[in-house]
Amino acid sequence: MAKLGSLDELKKYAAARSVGRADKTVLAVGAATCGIAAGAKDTIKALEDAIKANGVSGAEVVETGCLGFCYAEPLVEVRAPGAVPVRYAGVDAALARRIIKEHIIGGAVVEGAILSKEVPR
Amino acid sequence: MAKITSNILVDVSGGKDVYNALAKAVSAAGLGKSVQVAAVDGFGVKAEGAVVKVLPSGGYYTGVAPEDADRIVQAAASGEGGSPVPAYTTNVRVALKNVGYIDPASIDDYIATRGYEALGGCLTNNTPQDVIAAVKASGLRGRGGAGFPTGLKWEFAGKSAGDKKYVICNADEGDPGAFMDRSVLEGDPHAVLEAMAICGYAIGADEGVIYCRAEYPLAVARLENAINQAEALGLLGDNILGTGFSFKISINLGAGAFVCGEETALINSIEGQRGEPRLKPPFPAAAGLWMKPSNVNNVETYACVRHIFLNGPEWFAGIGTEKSKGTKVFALAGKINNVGLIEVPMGTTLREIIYDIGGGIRGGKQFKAIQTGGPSGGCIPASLLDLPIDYESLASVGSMMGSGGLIVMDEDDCMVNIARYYLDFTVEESCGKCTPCRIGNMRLLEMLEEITSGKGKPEYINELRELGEVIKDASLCGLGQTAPNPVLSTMHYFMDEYEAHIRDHKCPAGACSALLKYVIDPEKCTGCTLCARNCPVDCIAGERRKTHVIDQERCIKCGTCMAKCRFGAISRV
Amino acid sequence: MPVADTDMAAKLAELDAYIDSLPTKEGKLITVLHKAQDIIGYLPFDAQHHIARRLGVPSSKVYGVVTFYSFFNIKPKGKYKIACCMGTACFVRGAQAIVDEFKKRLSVETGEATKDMLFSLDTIRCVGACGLAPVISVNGKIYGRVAPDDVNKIIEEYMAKDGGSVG
Repeated sequence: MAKLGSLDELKKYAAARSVGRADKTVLAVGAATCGIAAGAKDTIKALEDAIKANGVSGAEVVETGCLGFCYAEPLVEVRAPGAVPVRYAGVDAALARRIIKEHIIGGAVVEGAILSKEVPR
Repeated sequence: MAKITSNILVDVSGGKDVYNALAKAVSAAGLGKSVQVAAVDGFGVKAEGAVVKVLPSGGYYTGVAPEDADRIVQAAASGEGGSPVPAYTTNVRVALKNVGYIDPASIDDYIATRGYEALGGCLTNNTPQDVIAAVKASGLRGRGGAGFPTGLKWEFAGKSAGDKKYVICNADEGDPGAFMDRSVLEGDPHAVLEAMAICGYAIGADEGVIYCRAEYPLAVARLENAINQAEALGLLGDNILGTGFSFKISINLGAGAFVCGEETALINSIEGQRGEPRLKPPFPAAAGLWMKPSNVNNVETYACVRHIFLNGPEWFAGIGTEKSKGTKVFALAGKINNVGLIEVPMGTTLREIIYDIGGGIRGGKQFKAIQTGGPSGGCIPASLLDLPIDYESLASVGSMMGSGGLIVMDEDDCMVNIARYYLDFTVEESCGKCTPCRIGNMRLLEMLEEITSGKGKPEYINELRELGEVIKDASLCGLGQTAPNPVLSTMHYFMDEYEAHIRDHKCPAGACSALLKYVIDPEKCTGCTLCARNCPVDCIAGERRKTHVIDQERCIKCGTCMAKCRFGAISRV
Repeated sequence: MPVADTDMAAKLAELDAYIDSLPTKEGKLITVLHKAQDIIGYLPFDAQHHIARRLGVPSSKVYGVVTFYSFFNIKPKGKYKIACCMGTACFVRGAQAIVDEFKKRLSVETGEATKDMLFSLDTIRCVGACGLAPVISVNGKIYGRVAPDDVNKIIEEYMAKDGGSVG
């Protein structure tokens, strides 16, 4: 990686990047200590396995920090291009598979598992 | 399967009428294959009546009646509908801006959120004096406890003469029940690194040290990764962004000592010594690490810094109250429904935090007190729930901001026992250097232990108060100066509980086991033997089908018998 | 026991290599103690003396630092280190009952190890997973929302793992 030589270079570098790339669906899993303690690693694996098993393209699992909803861990936030994010609470392996099948492939939110509380950004 | 293109989320916590109407409207319009109606339990927004949210746009309808269903469904099907509604939680996230949003392992994610732009801007366009002036103008105060103005601290360190200076980050989050610093380090490590570099430029330092708890291995790993990434891109290290400014950051592990949250004790610990506080003055700004001028701030304080430069100091100063600017992150825990991390503008009331954001008390129990400031803080009773949270108002009621732990207590928590718990903590964590803290807190603890076991004497009330004041006045560092707060504040607001323990040998909350007794009601006991079989110390006697009796001498008050009894024959008195 | 001695000698050699790799020895006592505890598992007096000689500081100073910080142990720990969080959030959600249950089941006090060295029991201050309170950890693996009834299950999980081979 080349070093950035000036503020302008930094700004150009930043302009060429955006979080979670706009053309991809991102499944962001809260993987701070609390999330991991609640089973986030299993959730990540289940999501990745289900993406592979269903041949889903254009969806990616990423780890993020803690969103603050400790009581609802493990948390998964689905960020689809052009859509407001949808957060799921208490995502175990079974729910992870449902999220891929019903939400990512079918477009229908998984009822009963949505954490609907607003978090401003 | 056909793909659903729009989802209508309905808050059904107030009833299912609207949900049913929407579901009916969807099937009547033959849109079942493209529009989905789903139930959720509340959005946490400031709105009246039934609330509906439409995805993917995220717009809201408020005050919805069943008659509105057709209109909403048609709008949703065409990809429109609804408008934004303010959320109960803060409308500004500052310290937690990126936490939970970006991938903390990716510097590209950070840079995409204008990461390192504040540093680049300072280095390219501002003098160190400009930088300090901006931090002063923002009104930012230390988020670790006492709330000292950050800009002033930087100015002192900047003005100190020295060939070598240090920027130190206090990441020794020792306050039990507080985990906001861990969240920032794990979720947005670059924000801290960038702010330390900005501070380095402002005060004239070329080296930074992060003193992090060894209990936070994930935070350490993410920091290490972040430092390597920033160095690879020339955002840390030599000649940052070609400006000639160089700044390196290293990590030092703590080893489990609460007192190391005190800045001079922390400095001693970085030097490999026992973490005992130093006499001040000299302050670290004059003689800190290796006796060189040093600036110490905590994680959350640094996490605010870049936003002051990206949005302007006046923006930051526009949030919060007159004397407490910006936002504060709190770790909400204890007997509350929505345990978690929240960021609210300074001046938000405790009631908003507990009921609007925290979702109220678990199990529908009665709120008793909220503890702020950890072992240095105090318990605030229900009568003060409308207190706006800022540094001054918390201090005025005998508590303090501290690092931001908020522990909610309900009717089952004994305030004397809570005071004893905190004193137990302080006594164990006192470094022992000064007498008032080492001996005085021990005496406080002994009296509290006697009170909670029913052996308290009436004169203890005065003695606790007097000794507490002496410890506050005479201790060397912040640990001792604040250690009696949990006792003094609970005595102030919950004197009746102290008196009940001392005078009546009763614990009103039923928490102090030495003051409890489990008894079997002979009317209700069927002699089923279940309690006797489950008693871990075999202290329940009685023949089958005859009344059983608990031997009070041997009973350890574990409560197992009461939990096991199927006839409600055992009670706690 | 010659086996133990050779074992310790090898561990101290590993530690020496680490000390030699440090750019400076000044102020590195706590860093070195962390490494030593990683390698040996605890900090026996022999190791403390050794570190003192290698860093050129008095043994008394090493002992002073070791005993100051709760992270450092002078006594060996069990194979499975049980740590019960006693942070405030865990405390108000019943952590004391969990500690008491472990004490009873393992017949040890906090800070001690079982005779077979399979388990040791400690209390710690807040692991920062307050949302899962009460929390315990076994060798770093975190168990959340623990009830006294779960204690035996957790102990048995590790006994089964060990196949009863350590006696």
